[in-house]
Amino acid sequence: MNLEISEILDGFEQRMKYMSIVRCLTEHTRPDVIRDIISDDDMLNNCIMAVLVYIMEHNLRYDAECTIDNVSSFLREFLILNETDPESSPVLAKYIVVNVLQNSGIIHEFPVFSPLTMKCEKINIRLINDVKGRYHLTDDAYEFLFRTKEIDSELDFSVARFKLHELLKRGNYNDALRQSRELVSKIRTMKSGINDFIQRCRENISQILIDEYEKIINKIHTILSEESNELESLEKNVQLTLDAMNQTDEYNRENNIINQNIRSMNEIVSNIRIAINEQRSLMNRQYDLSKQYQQLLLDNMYIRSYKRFNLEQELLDVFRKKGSDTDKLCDFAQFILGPFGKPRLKKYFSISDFYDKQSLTDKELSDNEIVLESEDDQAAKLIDRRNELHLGIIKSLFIYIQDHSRFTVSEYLHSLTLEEFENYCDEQLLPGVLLALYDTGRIDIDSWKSTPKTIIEPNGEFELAWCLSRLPDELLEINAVNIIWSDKTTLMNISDGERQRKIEITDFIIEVSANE
Amino acid sequence: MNEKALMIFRQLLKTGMISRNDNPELWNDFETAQVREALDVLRKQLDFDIYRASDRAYLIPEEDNVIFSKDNMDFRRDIRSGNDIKITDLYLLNYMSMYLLYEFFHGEGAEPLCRDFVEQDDFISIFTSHCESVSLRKSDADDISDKYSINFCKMADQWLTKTYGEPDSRQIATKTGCLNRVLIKMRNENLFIDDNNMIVPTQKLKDIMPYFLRKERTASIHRFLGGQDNAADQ
Repeated sequence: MNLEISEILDGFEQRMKYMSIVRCLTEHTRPDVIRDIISDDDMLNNCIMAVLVYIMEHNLRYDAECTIDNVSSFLREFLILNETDPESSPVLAKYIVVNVLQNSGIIHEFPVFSPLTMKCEKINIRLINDVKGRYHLTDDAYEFLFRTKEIDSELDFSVARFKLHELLKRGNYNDALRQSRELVSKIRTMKSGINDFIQRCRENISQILIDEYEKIINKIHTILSEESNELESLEKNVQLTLDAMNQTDEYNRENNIINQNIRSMNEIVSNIRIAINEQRSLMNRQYDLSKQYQQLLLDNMYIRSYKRFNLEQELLDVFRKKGSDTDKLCDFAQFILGPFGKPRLKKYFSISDFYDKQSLTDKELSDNEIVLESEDDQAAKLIDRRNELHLGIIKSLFIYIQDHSRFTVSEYLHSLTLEEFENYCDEQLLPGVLLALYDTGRIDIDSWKSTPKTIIEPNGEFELAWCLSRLPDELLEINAVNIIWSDKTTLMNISDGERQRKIEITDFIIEVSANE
Repeated sequence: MNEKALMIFRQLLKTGMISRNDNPELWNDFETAQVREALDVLRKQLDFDIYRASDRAYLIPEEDNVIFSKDNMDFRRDIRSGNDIKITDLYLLNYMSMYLLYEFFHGEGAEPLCRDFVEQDDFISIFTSHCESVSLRKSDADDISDKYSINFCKMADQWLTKTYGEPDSRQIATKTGCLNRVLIKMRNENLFIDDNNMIVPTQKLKDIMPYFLRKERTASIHRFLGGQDNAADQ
């Protein structure tokens, strides 16, 4: 039964790939701004497909990538033809290229049943590649548009070359001109197909079968060796015909048809020469392709020798759980990004040191001490001010505690003078302190007094231990302070002169255990 | 000492990498066995690795390299740590840097890269949704205590209270300001570029990520953070 399924579904991945590409083009969210431009989904699908074809033509005809401005210009004409406001073409162009064709940066991934492995494998689809705002189609997009693999089109190329020969033989120069342009497009398609193959190898060589590589190499070799002589012979014949036309006498030259034919033949000769040059560069590319493919295989084996860790579990989860040493976590990114950093040699004898601000060395920094150095006096003053304000808040609280054994936060706040309140609310320090006290839950003064401690002046952060160490002893003649949850809330109005903010905080209860 | 190896090493110290396209002569020398042997000697003595990806090679200092790796202050300096940056802000910026990497490289298949770019507004929305989900979980004390520390929850709340800000803001009080600070660091190290409000990983970052995600790095990560039991397997 498995064999029967395998035979029936031979090439199934390719069919599903086309279906996936259709889904990429048609399944996406349409923001209101786009619906305002084009309300009909079918019309929008037409625009999307037209843009895809335009990018292909732009790439092949001019051998250059396409920018959003190019697409916008094209869409402008397209919208005029469809009686839609052309002024919206820049917005529509950006939406189609970035949000639809590039899927906002997210790589399309679809499960596809593989008759080889007899299970669903995930395939990635990209329709366009972007290099600094210049776009070109991927191999998958070309396949979809042409419905053939461009690397398999060596037969198409021979047919195109043969058709050109026959059209020239019959004197049908207009059609021959079109055919010569088609010939150039086909060989450029093959070249971009090779580049795309290498790009896919770089992205994930494990998804590329060795058969695909061999097929590409063999077919390029076949088409180039067989077609190279044919094209050169065709060029010679066309040049002879053109020379004959140019020798036509002046009377006959007044005939516009002859002049037009001469112009067509000139362009045909030029296109055949372009095709020959592209063919030669393709031959060189074949050699590079082999070398690059081998190197990519080697690199892939080297990379696959590493087992990979899970970014979320081993990095983010660990970071989220480790909360006690915030200061150390501030260097985590530096530690993690270490492998990526540009090497920097410490400049011990740099002349720039002479121009650095001079300062006294009054203490040595130990290796373990992380210090945020302020760049100038203003920074130090800011830190000092924050420390003083934190101390002021705690001191005012403990002064209030002297006369009140149980009170709410709102009662304490009302005891403050307007000036005190405004100062303490600067940089939202007061709500921050209150929340920190609530998180603490209980300030055990007895325990704090009895344990030996080394108090380090904080860098503007709220440090309860430091504040307590600066309070006079008479304010600390209590056992503990408990901060208790309450259902009620209180509103604090905070103004910084320009804006006013209201902060609603829980009106929790503060209860004091006093010494007897 | 092999002169060609020294020239390659000089270029690696200068720019951190060599490539076939930009340094064709050096690259040809790099591919010879003699030069490779000489570089191996340098590698072992100077505590670095040369990581090759396709036709580019990168110099990567090892963890205990003290000669040309950074000291702890460089991250703070690079994100323009100034008077308005507090420890809690740095904590947020560190986490945001990690989350940015995660957003691009959390693919579970053979290829870790799972997106080509993200618009700045989109990333801010994604990060805000992430912080909102942390904030919502706070009501379930059991759930929260296993997954998130108190400081992390505060960081999430802090993010949610920030105003959105102008696109080019650098103020730490705004969301765009925080993201722009992180992008300054990333741009300096050639890891991300932001072009037309789109954050795009560089070729360098895409090349080095497989090296970055090696399983054996988890041991050093845990050592840095003070150890964690039962590291999950891939």
